[in-house]
Amino acid sequence: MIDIILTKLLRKSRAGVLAAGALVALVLSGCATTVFAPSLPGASEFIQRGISQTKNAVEITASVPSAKEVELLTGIDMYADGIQPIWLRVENHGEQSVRVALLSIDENYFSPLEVAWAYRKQFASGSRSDMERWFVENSLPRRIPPGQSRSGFVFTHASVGTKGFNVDAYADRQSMNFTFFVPMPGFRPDYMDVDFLEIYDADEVVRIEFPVLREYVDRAICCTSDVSGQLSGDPLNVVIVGTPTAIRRSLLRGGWQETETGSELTRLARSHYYRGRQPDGTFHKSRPDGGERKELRLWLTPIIAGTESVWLGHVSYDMKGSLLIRDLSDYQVDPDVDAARMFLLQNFWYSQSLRGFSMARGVGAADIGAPRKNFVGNDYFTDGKRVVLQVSEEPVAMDETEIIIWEPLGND
Amino acid sequence: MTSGIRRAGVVPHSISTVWFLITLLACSIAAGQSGELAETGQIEPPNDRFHSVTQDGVRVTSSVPSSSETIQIFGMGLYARNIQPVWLRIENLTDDDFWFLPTGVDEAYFTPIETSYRGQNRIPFLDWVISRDFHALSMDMHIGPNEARSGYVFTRVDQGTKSFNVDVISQDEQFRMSFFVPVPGLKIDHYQVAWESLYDESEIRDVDLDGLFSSIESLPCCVTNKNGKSNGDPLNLVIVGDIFDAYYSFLRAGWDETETIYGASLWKTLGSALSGSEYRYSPVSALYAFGRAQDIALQKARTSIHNRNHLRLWLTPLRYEGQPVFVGQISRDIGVRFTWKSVTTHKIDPDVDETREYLLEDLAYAQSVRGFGYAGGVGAASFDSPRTNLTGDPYFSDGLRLIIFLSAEATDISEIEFVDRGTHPILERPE
Repeated sequence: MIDIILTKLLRKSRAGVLAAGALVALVLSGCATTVFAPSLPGASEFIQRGISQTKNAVEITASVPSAKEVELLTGIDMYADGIQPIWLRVENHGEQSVRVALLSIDENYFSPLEVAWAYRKQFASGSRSDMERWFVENSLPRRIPPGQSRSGFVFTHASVGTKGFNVDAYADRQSMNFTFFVPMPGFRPDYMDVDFLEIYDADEVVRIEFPVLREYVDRAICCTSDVSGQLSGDPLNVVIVGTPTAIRRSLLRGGWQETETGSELTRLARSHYYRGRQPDGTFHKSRPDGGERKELRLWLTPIIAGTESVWLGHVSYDMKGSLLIRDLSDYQVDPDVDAARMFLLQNFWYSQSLRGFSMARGVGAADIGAPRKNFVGNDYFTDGKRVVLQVSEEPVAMDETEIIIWEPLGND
Repeated sequence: MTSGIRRAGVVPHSISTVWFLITLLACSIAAGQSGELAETGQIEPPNDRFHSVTQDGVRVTSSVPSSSETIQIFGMGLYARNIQPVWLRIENLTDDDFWFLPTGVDEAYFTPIETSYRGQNRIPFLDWVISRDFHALSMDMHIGPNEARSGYVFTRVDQGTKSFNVDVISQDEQFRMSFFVPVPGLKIDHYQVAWESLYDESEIRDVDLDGLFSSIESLPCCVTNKNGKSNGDPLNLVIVGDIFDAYYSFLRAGWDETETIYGASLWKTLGSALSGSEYRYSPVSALYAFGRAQDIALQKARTSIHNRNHLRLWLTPLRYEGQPVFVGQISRDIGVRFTWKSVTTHKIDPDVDETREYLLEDLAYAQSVRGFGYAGGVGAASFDSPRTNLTGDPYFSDGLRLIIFLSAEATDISEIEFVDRGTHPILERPE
């Protein structure tokens, strides 16, 4: 995307208009000779990985090509520019026409010709109109007539790992809401490498009912430790109760991204231990206007509340996420760890994932005037509470979330 | 959860400026006013733009400091780092505990220390004293029974008018109050439009539904240049609704206000196009209909990348069920082109129907649409023989205008009515 590159370059160098003119001339003089020669999407391998769901009379099959498959199909590396096409096939078995709201899939989706325009210079000028036509003809139309089916691409913003997205379809006074989680080849989220059934022996597992959980949470260990188990790390300020599906859906709905096994991004997280284990799963959420991000580290506990597993975790603002230089001795976490805890609560609540929540103790308070240090030497202060989040597989309207007062909710 | 402003229920039809409306609806109160409720020491914004909304049991007052006022308060510029503090005072008039949720104000709000970190240019070693000051000035989440709390929430910058919700909960109740607060700085065109003098009362035509659709079909097809001799982008959009509703519907859906340029300051646009600075608010050029430039111009930055959507609206002399009717043009910029004719211009998506349907979904998901329908009037142009706009960009279309009936109250998407007059957009292609 020349425009973006140009903008970035100029923003960095603060170069004047003349330099811009020179650059533009340079760009314009470069003539591509490659002919746009796409393959047929229907014959591609990724179609075989389609996942189908049916609501009322509408069946939607979703498949997501990998970066390599997109390049194989179109000759364009769209992922490199943050564009991830989703292939949808919508079958309307009903008697009314159905409209798919593209905005529900990605509120900032790219239009087909926007994508075509971004890559026009990679192809010989003679084949540009073929390319534009291909993008229009292979995009998903919004309207599906009764008894018919349509298929095509929707161009979304790329996400890391499992592709999670909604699709809303409407018929007359009917709405059908789909949520898809499409695994991506070549990406193995860190939690897939953990054999959760093998973590605890049968005699270690504690089965309790939810109301009793508070006692266990209040007594659970305050913090992570270093690899030796001797030094105290970050406060375990989050408890999540739910099925594995509910937890994955809540994280995806809240915009949290999975991390890959052994990824450099999780080096810091992997220096923290609970019961002798590195995190069972690490998730990140970046700011929309910068690289600063939140980090959530989760560990499975041996507690089962009702039928649901209980997870213990640490959430914090990693302020240095925006910088390229990251070093264990040099990282900067917002010492106000309670702010991150309250963010996570709201994040799950506003994205309609919460059946209920409450606050418990167990971390131990540390005043802003006398902060504690973790084993890396970073300060943090806290009111000493943990947030307990009961997550749901199905969306829960905000005013249906149950607030259970164990400890006062505020950070005071 | 009803909007406090809506509850006030005053919606005058003939107004000179939106500014006037805001001050009328969100009754201004004097700075520094303190109730009998206990409160800790806080630095209030040094301005008189305080607005307050009261619902059963809770009163919320807000004020948004301008860029220079922010420097006065915090001793450092925050706007340049995309941080805009919003001052809130929340009074709990009940015997229950209340909690304030900053996510309602901005889902990507900054924590006080994150703000301090950005404010200090992300230095490796934070100034702990400054960070503690930011923490002390920030808004608490907990407001005890019969208590008042005030402080700052750190949000991303909005210029022109800042629109946000203040969400307050107790164990049994949830309150949502909407604020539309002017922020000084931009010279916004619709503040300058003398709405009541655009048309004489004798020119206004009250129409029924048949009359509305037939009148819409006979409106001009396209925008023109200043002398009205060349046709440009299609007028493929009609908005039926009060000026106030229209304005807030778009703000709710994340659209921004903008300044209009009338020819002279193209270098300003060029600078913006190249540097990306102030990108969300960079001025837009004037297009013409009814012999005048647009009455309202709005834009929406889609992502951090260099693309956004533009919308221009003109008030028509039509009136349907007492509500004004606007006609407009919407385009999706898909890149910047450099032409000698106008120095720099935005390349628009030739698939103008795609952009039109995007807007319907955008407003529908902001819960602002009561109904929609389609009428002719633009004239069809195919992919293979497109028409061109004033800057020479091609476009193709099914030739229809989308008519959106706005709703003053939040309307669920599944309740939207399709006003079927027998005209349907194509929006499909055979498989």
